[in-house]
Amino acid sequence: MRRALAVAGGGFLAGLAALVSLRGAGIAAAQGERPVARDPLVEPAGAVIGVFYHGARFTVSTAADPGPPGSTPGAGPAAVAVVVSGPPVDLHLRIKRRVWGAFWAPAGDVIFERVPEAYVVHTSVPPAELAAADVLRSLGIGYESLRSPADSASEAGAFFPELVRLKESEKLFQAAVVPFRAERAAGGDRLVTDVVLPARAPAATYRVRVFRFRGGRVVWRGEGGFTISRGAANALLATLANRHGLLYGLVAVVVAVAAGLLVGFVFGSVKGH
Amino acid sequence: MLHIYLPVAERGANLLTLLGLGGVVGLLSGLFGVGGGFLLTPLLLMIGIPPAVAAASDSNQIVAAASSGTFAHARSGNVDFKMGLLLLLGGLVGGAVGVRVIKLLIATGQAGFAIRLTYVVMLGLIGSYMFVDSVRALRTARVPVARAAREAPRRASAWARLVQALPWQVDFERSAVRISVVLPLALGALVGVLSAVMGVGGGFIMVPVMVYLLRMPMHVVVGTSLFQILFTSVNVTVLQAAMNRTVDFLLALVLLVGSTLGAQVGALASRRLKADQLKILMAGIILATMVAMVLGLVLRPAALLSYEGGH
Repeated sequence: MRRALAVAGGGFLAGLAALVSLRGAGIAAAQGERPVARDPLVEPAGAVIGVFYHGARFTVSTAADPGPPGSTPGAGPAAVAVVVSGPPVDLHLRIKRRVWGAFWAPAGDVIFERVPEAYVVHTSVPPAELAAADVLRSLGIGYESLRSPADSASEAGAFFPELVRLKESEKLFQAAVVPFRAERAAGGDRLVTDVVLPARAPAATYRVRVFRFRGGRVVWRGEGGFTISRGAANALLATLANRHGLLYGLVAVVVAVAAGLLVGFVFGSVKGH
Repeated sequence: MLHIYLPVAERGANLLTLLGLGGVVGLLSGLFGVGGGFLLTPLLLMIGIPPAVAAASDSNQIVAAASSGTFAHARSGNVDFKMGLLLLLGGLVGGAVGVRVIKLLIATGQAGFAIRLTYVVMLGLIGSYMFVDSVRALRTARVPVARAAREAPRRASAWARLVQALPWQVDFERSAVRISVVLPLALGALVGVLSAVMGVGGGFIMVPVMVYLLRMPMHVVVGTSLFQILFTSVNVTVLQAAMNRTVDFLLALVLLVGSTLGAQVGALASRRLKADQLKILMAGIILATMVAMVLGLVLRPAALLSYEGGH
């Protein structure tokens, strides 16, 4: 009975700490965890889509948590999970089916509600060792947490693994157990991982959440973020193309004709077509 | 590795790869005297450019190539403007129809599939024709001249009777032919549709048809074809940009640089190689591209989902 109360009390405190730590690391520090000035630290704070942009690399670091010494349950260093997610959108996709008995072609639609455009999870240990599946799902850790409850009986539920395949092929979804690097910093040792987003990741503000687990429970969590934005030239071209299509087309033609005449002038040759 | 971000395709691409693709197509253009647009779009699809963007941007790139060619041919008096205007009229109508077809296909999510399928059919026809024609040419070189001369008029007669039966016969002085205006209008419309759907100039259809069916002299054929292609490509580029938002100008510009350089190398190389061997080589490249596209259509895709609009 006493043990059950102790577990319940511990769970309550951990839950309370997890809730309050969203606003800072103060409670975590009071529980004996290492105080840090800024946790998680995401560097750089943003990336700009310029002419030569081919994706962005962000370094996410969090204070290393060696944990209490000894061999009692829950002792030892905390396991870490880093979750990066883009803004949620309703994703309208086409289902590919066999047509005419030979070709794979779009035949039917499916809508996935509130799916992040990009989603990256890095964990220091296999997810099953972090916490129970339902705990991870409630925290938004892992692909299963992206399933909408309403999807389970619908086509979206059936095609969810295909969504993951599609997004993984574009590197917009990534889930991996990675060796976090240990780095020395002014505020103490930090665990570091690199999150690489492909050029297809849309311009948006991305949410970065870091969790520390010990004994199957969250002992600390923090939140940060970064922004991917379009550079001036890129934004100008995209805006022109999307909002002033006719003008954009005329400019594209004029420049192409000028380039063609220049090429003809420089090389002085006649090319067949 | 130098990368470039394509603002309309909304993805990065290796700059050297794009320059290389443009260069390869330009090389073929210089070697074989075709634009290579029919090869460029499938190659762009293979490196992950969305089909609708690949086709529209290819049209934009063709504007540049065709403008330099048209200018040079017009200066040499090799453009039949009367024939070109009729082809153009058909091309404008066909282009408008093609762009609407693409818009409809994008809306139904079938653009990628339709563009790929059209390419498979066209590349299959062209590659097979070129291969057979090259083999026949190699054999004809060994056939006595008298026998070839006996066969030629017999092949032409049936077509000639059909052409003569069409209404609205007009003299085209520059091309030294008298044909119905229906022919260039219909041919222009066909090329216009293909230009929009496939992102090609259409020279690979136009040139043989003008030579074999319209009986125009070769030097006028190339200039007139380029004249028509220039305006059809301009029309398709503007319509694609205005209606479908699929022209990636940066992509077109990079491809243009690559193809320009490649074309110069190809023109130099073509002087040192034998024509029929080159044609067989070209046919092999076209058929290999077609096979790759067929495999992409019949093999189970990595994911059974795709984005709407063929993107």
